[in-house]
Amino acid sequence: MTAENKKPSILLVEDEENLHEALKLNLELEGYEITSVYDGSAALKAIGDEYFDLIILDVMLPEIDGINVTETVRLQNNEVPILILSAKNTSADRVLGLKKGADDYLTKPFNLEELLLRVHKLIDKNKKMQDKETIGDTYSFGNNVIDFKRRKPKLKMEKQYN
Amino acid sequence: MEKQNLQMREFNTRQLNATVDSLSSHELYSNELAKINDDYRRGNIKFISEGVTFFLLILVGAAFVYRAARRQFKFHRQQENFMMAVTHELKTPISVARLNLETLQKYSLDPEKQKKLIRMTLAETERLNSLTNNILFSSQLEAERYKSDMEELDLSDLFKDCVHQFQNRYPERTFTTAIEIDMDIKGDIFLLQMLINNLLENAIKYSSKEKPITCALKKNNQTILMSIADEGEGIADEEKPKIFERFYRIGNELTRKTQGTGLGLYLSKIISQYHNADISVTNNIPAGSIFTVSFKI
Repeated sequence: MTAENKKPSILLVEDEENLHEALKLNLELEGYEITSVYDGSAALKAIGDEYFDLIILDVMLPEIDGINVTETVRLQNNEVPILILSAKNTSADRVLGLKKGADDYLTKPFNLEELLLRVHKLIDKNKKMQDKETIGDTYSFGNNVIDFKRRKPKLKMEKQYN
Repeated sequence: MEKQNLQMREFNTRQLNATVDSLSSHELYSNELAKINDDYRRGNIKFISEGVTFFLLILVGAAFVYRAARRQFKFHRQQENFMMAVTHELKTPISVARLNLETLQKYSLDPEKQKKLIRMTLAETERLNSLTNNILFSSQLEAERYKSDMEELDLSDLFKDCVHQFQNRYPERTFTTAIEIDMDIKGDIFLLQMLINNLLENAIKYSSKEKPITCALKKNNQTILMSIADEGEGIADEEKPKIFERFYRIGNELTRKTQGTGLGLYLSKIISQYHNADISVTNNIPAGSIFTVSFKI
């Protein structure tokens, strides 16, 4: 889990060097921590080794293509947000990407502002979801408290359930 | 049909039995019977030979259809690959240029970074330009509408200019040149530039950054040899004859290391033919390939 003050981390997977550098520069200026990889198998390795708040993924990649990377990540039960960034822009391509588990699909050439907004939203949403999932050990509503550790509800009425 | 033939014989025999008494005119009967049997045999042969002929015709037809369909499928697949590659090749430079310009617009960066972004953008527009040249020329070729413009020119100067431009575009790469001066040939400047650019671009694409690219131009008897050598992975022998085919690309389109349209070498070959020159590829030592264009003078 990332600490409050830590920069959100993004894995950037793009083989086109000039595009990669420009993207990295922009995302760093926006205050993200970037890890750069240039092909599909390196991406899978990085995802296995490290936690990321978001993955930005190209489709046409050396060795393993982006669609396959997405599929593999989802098969490993990893729910990290994935944003696909691709030159393939037919609706069939988008549908395929989203079907295989991508959270968002943006086509090249893209608008910088739009990309940054989508990146921000995906990371934000994911964080909120994680906060919800990790509720503390007790949950209370009204006068009632549920202690998840004891696996028994503690009620004001002193009634005991087994 | 065969059954019909058999029935015909039986019917004829029966009729013969009814009209001619086999005992009284034995000779006539056997003559007639022989004729009937003969008819039967001939009919059989006719049916069989007709059947075989038709069967063969159908086989030949099927083979033709199969071949045509296969060729069509292969061509279709190549064209699909080509479309995919072109989409990628066209969109990537546009994406980079747009992203860089938007970055410059959004932030006030220090001059060093600004310069770098601008240099990257220029390199991408150059790439876009050479790609559109390739596509335009190949479609003109297809429509047989390209008119070449042959004139006396200094190949040495042209070659040097092209290499110089590439050095500017890729300052981190090393180009070694051994270009003899004053090699005059008759040629089309636009096409020759395209030829040299395609070969240089391939050399850069298929070799790693720290490896040098060697450009040489020399005269050998009655030929001028222009060669561009890289120290990349090289090309397997079985691939060598295929790389000059249109749309041909080594490997799988989705997961390749380098992008391209499969037009570059095909056009290089066509341009060489325009100039009555040969283009060939050989292995470089210790690694990589050498592309050589030999102009006859």
